[in-house]
Parts: sequence; structure tokens; C-alpha cells
Amino acid sequence: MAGQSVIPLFLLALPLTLAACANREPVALSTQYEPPTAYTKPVAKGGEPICRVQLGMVVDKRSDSESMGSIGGRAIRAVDSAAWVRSGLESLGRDGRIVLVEAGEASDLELKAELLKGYVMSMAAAKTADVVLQVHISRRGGPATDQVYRGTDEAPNWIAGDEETQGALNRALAQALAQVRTELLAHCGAGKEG
Amino acid sequence: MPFRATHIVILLCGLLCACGTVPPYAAFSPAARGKVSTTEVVMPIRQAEIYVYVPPAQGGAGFGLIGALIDVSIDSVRAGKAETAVKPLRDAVVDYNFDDVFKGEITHSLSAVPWMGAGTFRVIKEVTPDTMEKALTNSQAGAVLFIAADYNLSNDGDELTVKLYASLFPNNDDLRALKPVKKDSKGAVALPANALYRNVLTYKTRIPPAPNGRDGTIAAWSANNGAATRAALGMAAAKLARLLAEDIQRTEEDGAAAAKAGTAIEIEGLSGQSIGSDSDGTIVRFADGTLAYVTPSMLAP
Repeated sequence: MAGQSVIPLFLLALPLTLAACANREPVALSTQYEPPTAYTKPVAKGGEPICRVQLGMVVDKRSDSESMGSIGGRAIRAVDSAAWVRSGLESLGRDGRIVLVEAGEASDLELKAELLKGYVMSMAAAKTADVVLQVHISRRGGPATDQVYRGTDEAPNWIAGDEETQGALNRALAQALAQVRTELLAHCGAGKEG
Repeated sequence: MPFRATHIVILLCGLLCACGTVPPYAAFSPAARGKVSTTEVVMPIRQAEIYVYVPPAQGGAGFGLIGALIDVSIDSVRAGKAETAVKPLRDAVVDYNFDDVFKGEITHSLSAVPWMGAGTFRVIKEVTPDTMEKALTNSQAGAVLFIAADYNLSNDGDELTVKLYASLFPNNDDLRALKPVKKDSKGAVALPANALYRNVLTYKTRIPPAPNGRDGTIAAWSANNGAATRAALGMAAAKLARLLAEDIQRTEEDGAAAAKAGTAIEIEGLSGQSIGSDSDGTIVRFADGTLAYVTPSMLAP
């Protein structure tokens, strides 16, 4: 049964693939991070301490800040990758346990981030998206910790489309952000216990 | 999923070499040297990190759509495993910038070739026919040398390969007069057939495969912050840059004579002639004029 359903799906995808082949315009990425649909929003339990985080500088450290790789022969371009990462980091505030505060407000932690890698590679029927962040977390007046977080998304390359590409990068960033969230909460927990 | 070397070859050849229609090697005529004046060196390096080459599945060939689907599925699974396997190495060398190392070595080597007048060196990350065309037509230099680079580990993880695809295009009237410039149907001129010099240069080295397979071998490449990988990529950049500087000054006759005087050698089933060596490895010239620099590990039985 599974084999029977695959063929019509493939035939359905074929015109889309051919259409995509004809499209050689660069993929233009959004500056806004959108959590993947499969992403499960962390739920804060009542009574948990709130981690107040001040979001500092977000810098794109890549040599070419516009290029985000290519998919199916189409170049992928970002207008502002740092803004995209920043919007991802801002989404940490949806957690419930993390509250982003403005500069000057009382905070538990300060977070700065650098985008070290951000790209999509594709060949034939497959694609991968990688996002690597270097994150500096510091407690007010305390030492900073530096950690590198990588998110990777692997999936078939369906039609080398804009949404497909954006989705792959968002999923990769979501993976990296999940690690950042864990680190922030660990830092906050350690600070409040101490 | 990683790039696959065969696809990269096809892409880069499409951009620079036109496999099948244009021979990979064309010597630069000494008579043209005086007409170069200045050269802009453009290094298209599409990848951001090392990858594992996964040979495309072919078991489904001859079975139509079903076979193609099977191959796609196999490719997808293999590529996914390769991506997982290479992650520790990527993390170990995340601060290593191959682009900068390569650019530094190319700058050093080609600046020592006086007639090239190489003054501008730049890496481009967006590698498409359009960007290559723009790089050529927007250049103010008398000639534009493209040096596309690609680096990867073999599917088993034991072999590291760095490959350069070099093509020198005329960009002033004196050079264009030497060879009429052809345009394709879209009016593009950055075509392999228009290159006054072109060649493919390869660096290969190998470490012993680990008993526990690819993951273990990649762990060896990753150990000590990827020390072995950093060393191999650094050596590859240095050796290939020097090889390129020598090759672009070599006439076709000199190249053939060197090969004739060399000793027969076989690299992974390809027969060539050893045309030189140093303390780190051996230079091999193949029958089609392409070159390789291989470390002793590649020659071991």
C-alpha cells in the first residue's frame, strides 16, 4: 500500500520539480524567524522562577553575510541574517520561564550571540540546513561563558522553493535555540540556588 | 545532506570546465603573458564546511520511476547518516576558516608571478553562472582567474580531497584578440571554451581507517580540535597554490616533457606520471594534463 501511494505523490511532485528547475531566481529569506510547525512550545509550570534575560548584540560573523548557500541551483540570499537570529532569540521569551528585558532593567543574565555558520546545501533529492551560533552568557558582574550551538535540518529537496528553504533554516535555528534555552535556564537556576 | 563530489564536479565543470566538450587542461601561451597587464583572482568556494562525499545510489537504474524513487530514498538515508557522522568534525574545526587560509596561500603564490599582475584576490560564496558572469564582466583587470575550490572526506571518512578548478579568462582587447570569445545562447562569456588557461588540481591524503568504521575514522580527524584536518587542509592549500603558480607558467610542451621524464604511478586506479616530489608528497600529472599532489599515504599499497 505504501508503495502505491508513493507513485502518485511523485507524479504530483514532478511538475512542481520541473517548475522549480525553471526558476533560477535567488531565494530571498525573511528577516523574521518562524518557529517550525512541529515545534512544541515549552510550557512553564506554575511557581517556577522567571529567568530575566537581556538580549545584547547579535552579530553575523560570516565572510559573506548575504549568501546562505544554494538549493537546486538557486542562490539563497539573506537581507539581514543577524536580524533573523535576533528574532529567533527573542522567541525564547515565549517560553514563559524566560522573560526578555530591556537594557537598563533588572536582569539575571545578559546574552550576546554570533552567527558563525548559516547555510543550506542541496544536491539532487536531498538538502541540509546548518546554523551555528556562538553564544556568550554572562551574569551581572560575573564571568561570561561561551558556547557553540549547532542546529541541523536534513530533508529531501522537494522543489527548491522559498518556503521550503526558509523552513529548513528555521528548523535548524530552532534546534540551536532549544540548546540556548536549556543553557539559559541552567544558568538562571544555578544563580538562584547559589 | 552533503554536497556530492560528482554533482559538484558537474556544477563546477558546468561553470568552468564543461566536461565532455572542452578538455580539462589548456596551457597558457607564453606569447600572451605580455598582454595580461593585471589579473583579478576570484575564488568561488560554495561550501561553508567540510562534508562527506556520498556516492549516488544506482541500484534503481533501469527500473523507471520506481527505481528512481528507490535511489532517492537510498541517497537520502546515506546522506543523512553522512551528515550525522561529520558533525563532530565540523564542531571541532568550527573556528577554522578554509577560505581565508586558501586565499592567503593563493595570494602568496600568484603574487610571485610577475606577468600576472595579480592585485585583487577575493572569495565569493554565491556560486552560480550569474555571479561568475558578473565577476568577469564587471572586472576592471586585463584577465580574470577563477579558482573554484571544493574539499571533502570520502564516504569511508579516511581520505581527504581538495580540488581546484582554475580558468583564466581574457578581459582586455589584446587578450581577446588571441582567441575569439564565444557567447552562449544567453550571451554569457564566462564559458570554459573561452578560458586561455584551465586545469584541475587535486590534493589527496589519507589516514588509517578505524576498526569501528567511519565514525571512528572521523573521530581521528576530529581529535585535538581537528588537528589532523587543519593540518591537511592547510597543506592542501599551500601545495595546490604553489602547483597552480607553476602550472600556469608551464607550456604544454614542458608539461608533456616533464610527464615523459617522470615515472609511472597509479592513484586510485588512475595512471599518471610522477613529475616531482618534496618532503611531504608527490606531484602527479595525468594523461589529460590534470595534476595531483598526493601524500605518501596515498601511495601505500
